[in-house]
Amino acid sequence: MKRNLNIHIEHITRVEGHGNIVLNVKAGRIEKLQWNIPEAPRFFEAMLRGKHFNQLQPITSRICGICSIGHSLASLKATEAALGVEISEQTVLLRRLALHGENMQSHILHVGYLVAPDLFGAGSIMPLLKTAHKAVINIVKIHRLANFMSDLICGRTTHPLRFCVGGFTLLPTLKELQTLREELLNGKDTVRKVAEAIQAKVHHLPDFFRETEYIALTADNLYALYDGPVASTDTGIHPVNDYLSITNEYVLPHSTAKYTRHNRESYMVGALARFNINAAQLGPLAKEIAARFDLEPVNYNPFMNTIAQLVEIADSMEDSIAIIDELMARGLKEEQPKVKIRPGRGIGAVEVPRGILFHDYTIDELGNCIKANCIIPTNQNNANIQKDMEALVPTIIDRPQNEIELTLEMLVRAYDPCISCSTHYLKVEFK
Amino acid sequence: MKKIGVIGIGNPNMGDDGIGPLLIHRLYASRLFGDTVCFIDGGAGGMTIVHELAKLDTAVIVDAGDFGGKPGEFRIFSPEEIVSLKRFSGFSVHEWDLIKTIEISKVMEELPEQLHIMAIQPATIAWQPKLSKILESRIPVYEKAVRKLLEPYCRNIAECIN
Repeated sequence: MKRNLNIHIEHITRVEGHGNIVLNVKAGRIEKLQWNIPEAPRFFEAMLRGKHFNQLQPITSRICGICSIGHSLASLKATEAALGVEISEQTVLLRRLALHGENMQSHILHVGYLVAPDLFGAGSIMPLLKTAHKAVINIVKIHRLANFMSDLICGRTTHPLRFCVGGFTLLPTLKELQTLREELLNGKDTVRKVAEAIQAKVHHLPDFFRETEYIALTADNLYALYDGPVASTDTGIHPVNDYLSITNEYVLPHSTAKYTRHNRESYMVGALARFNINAAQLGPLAKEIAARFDLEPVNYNPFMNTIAQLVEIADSMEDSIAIIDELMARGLKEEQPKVKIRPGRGIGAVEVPRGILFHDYTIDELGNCIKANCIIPTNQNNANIQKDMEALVPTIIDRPQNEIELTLEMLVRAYDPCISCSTHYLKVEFK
Repeated sequence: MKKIGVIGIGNPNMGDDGIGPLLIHRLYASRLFGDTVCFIDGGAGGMTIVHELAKLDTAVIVDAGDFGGKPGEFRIFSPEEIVSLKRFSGFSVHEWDLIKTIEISKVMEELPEQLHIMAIQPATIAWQPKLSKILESRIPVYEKAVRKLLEPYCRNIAECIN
């Protein structure tokens, strides 16, 4: 059928921030197909210029209300690298715990509140209170546990208060960690129940595959979130300091957000990328959840990013229990961070829920930031979303228009884009 | 010990929408309630409120609400007394409806034993970091109303009311 279509989804629902999809088809031929970011710049990098190194983390935390822990940690790592600050094993363990809290918090929000309605055929989570109320209860329970964990380690649910350059300003008590451990143990059963509910509906995820490059941090003995070099499924291992040669940002006329590319026209970051690169390092519960969905690396279906997130929730729970055990065995010690000002440049990379995040700061001899660069995961996924849409549309073009619209929206939602976070916008000069 | 809390919901950068948080910060600063009552800045609301309600036996929620009243007027009611007319598009998790939050609390079997909602009819909902003059002038009236609501649940609070 030589059909005409004029789809303009403005703005796509159940994502963080504003993004549009434009699809024009004339006589069966695609004339225009665009993933379009219309949000205004936020100029965080400019805000950092001239600020003292102690202010960089609290400011960049505000880039995102979901990934505030991840932005804080990338910021601290960049600052510490620039100043040559060494951090203790205890600080690394507590930071990893904080990152797990955020990963669980963000992933359950996406899986449970934003994607589950698609799988259950509803417009939002509210109708599920009647049709799938047990699943909703379990989703809320995990969300609560993740919030509790972030409160405990960071001082509040969003925008951490207890982080500082070189360590922590306040530590949790062993008793609090013990309580958290018990909650996490209970949570393992809850995540199994959520996986069971999602599994019953997973056939609603489109069976769509497109080969692409996946990029994530990696490590030998850990499912890397906090640290490690950068790995690509195409080109292998790269030092974090080479991040500019990985991201290769560029601009397009129709988008206020930058795009990136590495070995191909596009690459993907996020839970599926991490799973595809680091699945061997997952814990037993995460592997059990992955097996339930037949999820094996390398999986080229972007819709399975949601399932990879579910797998990561399980892994974050298990690894958090192991971290708490280690902290309890070592005992918590008050530490005084040792920070000396020196000029230098530092690059920090962490895996945040939506993928790899880079902060790059140059600090002068007074301890002030003179240059900053932040490259966030959603911008790195923009080109991949576009290429996926270009491959997906010809396979669904004969379907009813509302079905095409829903499938394209589901594709974008699968990436869990956090468009508001996209700090790295156009650099322009007025004549 | 029963847990009593006042939750203020709203965005202080959106004019009268910020009346809830502003009120609970003032009540907390007054220190009239000691540690008997906790005051919670619920911000823009959303799912976080479900988790806060779960901790409380008695809750008062203060929020800007359009009930067709005159600007500055307030009403106090229980969730059973009203029907939400808010249209819920599912746009994002930032767009939420307090009444839906209460429905989730009910399903979770975590609704406080006593729940009062205080809705204040706004005059201005727009980008501005301050209240309209009419709501600003009535803050003492709202504070008194919240204190009165808490009276049955708190000892020695009668003297705070007048």
